[in-house]
Amino acid sequence: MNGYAGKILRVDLSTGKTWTEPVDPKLAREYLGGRGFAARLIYDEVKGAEALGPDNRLVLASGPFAGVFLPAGAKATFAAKSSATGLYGDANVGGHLAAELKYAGYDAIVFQGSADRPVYLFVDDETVQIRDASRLWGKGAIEAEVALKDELGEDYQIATIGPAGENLVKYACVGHDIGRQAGRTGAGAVMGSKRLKAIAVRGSQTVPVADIEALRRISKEMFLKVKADPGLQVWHDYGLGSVCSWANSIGAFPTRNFSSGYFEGIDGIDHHAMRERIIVGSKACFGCPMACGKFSRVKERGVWVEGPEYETTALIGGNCALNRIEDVAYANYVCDELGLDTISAGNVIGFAMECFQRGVIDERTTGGLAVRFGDVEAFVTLANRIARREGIGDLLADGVKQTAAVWGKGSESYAIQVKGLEWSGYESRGAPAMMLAYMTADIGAHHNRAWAITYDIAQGREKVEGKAAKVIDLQHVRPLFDCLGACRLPWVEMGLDLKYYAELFPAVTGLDLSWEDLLQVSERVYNLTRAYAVREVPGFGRSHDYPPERFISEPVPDGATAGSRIPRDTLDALLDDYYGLRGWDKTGRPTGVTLRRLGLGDVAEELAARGLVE
Amino acid sequence: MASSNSVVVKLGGTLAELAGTKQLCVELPGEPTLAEVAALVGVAPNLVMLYAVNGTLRAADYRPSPGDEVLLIPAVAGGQLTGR
Repeated sequence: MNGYAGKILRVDLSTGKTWTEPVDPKLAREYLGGRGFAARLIYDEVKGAEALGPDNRLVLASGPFAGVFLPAGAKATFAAKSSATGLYGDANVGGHLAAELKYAGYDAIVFQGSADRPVYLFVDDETVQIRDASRLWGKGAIEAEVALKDELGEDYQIATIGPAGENLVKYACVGHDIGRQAGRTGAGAVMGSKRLKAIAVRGSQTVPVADIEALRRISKEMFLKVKADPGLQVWHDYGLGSVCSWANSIGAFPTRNFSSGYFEGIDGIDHHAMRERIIVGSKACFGCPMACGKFSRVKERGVWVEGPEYETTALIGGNCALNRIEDVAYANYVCDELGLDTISAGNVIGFAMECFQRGVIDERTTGGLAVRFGDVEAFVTLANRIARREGIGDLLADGVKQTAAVWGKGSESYAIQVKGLEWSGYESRGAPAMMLAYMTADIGAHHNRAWAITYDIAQGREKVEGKAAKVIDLQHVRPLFDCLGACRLPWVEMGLDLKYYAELFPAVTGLDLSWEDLLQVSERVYNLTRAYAVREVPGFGRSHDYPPERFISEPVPDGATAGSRIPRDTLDALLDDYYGLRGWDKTGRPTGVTLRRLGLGDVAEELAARGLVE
Repeated sequence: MASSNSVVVKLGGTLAELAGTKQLCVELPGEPTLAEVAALVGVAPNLVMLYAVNGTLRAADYRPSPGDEVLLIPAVAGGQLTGR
């Protein structure tokens, strides 16, 4: 199979057995790879299971573009039934893991069961072993990665969890490449529940492609286009941190638990501060000419960290009111080592800070700790308690939704999440399309499904018409990259034309799928994950798609979007439009007709048999 | 043909789509700021993430000089500004 390694590696951690299965050509054609493979596998194999139980699956999957010479076939997807949401959850990571997995001969690894002691998976081409990891248990995610590299060699690509994953923090992440993360939805917790500390992969094989000359021609043109872009130097110099000042200027920078979109301390944490005070070099993923990753040193703390990139600076910086880039970078390092998703951690700690400020909690709740906005020591102390589930950290480890449900006193209205997943880095009260994107993202409040905020600005912030259609378009295009195993940033940030990817696909795979066909695959996956939510979560539907009350009833106090909020009737209009265009019913469930149109007849039948669709 | 009171404006990604060109020569009316230069070429300033003048990042209120090369870098380039 061109573009594919052709095998899926299965690992049963309960029995210690490993085996391989050939990749079904039908699966490849209908789901492509990456997120598509993961969604189908989880739909088929994880029915009613607890997210942190042995019957959940952890899927690590690449796609047909991974490991192929193009900018940039570097993305691997980690997916499972999410510990954070109970829905399908995934997160992708760059670096070199996806390419190495393909070179080892596997398109995906599927873990099931749970080991009776800490283990790691060792893969060196056909040699697959479940090895003891007792000596690594308790170590930080980066510390464990370095230890394994020291032991096995630099040419192994390694993914690890930190103490947060070991202790089942619901938003624990998976680390890779000394500072990159598959951050969202708690794949690290699922790894921890299986006592799987790490995955180490080395490969020496090649990935067959259908038309090497066409691949070479198209890929070369793509590289040259990126290289010639006048903005490339900016990405080299500043990376994604350069988004901070802009987001603040348009009133979208999360500030003090999303009470505002304008942070008065932005100058201390923006790209200039980064460049002048902490950046020491750039880091690129496999095959990428952009090198948007920045490697930084915090001299006063004696630590090194990759980042902070935009989301981390937004959620740890603005959202917790840390106004020194050194503090943000240090907190970033602490979260990376603990194995905490910085987006969720910044939300959870920002929420605790607001609750402390409002008197919802006090020092009796926090174990004597003053949890105040702007205090990096409080942030770091809480992050450590969360990762180890100590004291107040045991509750915070379950996320803002669960924490608010316990603390009460109206705090639910400013627990910033959708479907149990904490909100990522864009305050959206002045951006209806972006708000809808967060509301309807299949994994919960994350921006990577549809980053629509510039569309709001270009088309009019007050305007609602047409926004649902754009969000749906983006929800098909952007996750398609996660099915293909490619980074979307050369398209998103450099403006690389999508026609290149359309031309690449047949050159790599030999499959006669047009761009429209590929988008339909992405639509199929989006409906499959929605169907999974309908099956797995009792009563799932429209009520799960609303943002927190703060965004509905509380106007933004300052900044470029001062006075903005999105009333419930506007949200209803957006959802009605969105559901209608998607072919979902008024309750937000895919109809049988829609599922069958997308080749999901078996899913329609199962849901109908359960009385969940007509 | 560039006059003595003009700047060269280069546009990244979708900003080029909005302006209808990747590069153009703009006659400066007085001493405009970079944000005003963006507006002159048909780009809403709040869609510009960063400005660079002769390769150096500058703030939106910086005033370029005749002969400068101005680069407008979009917040995002990939097809998110226009309709379906």
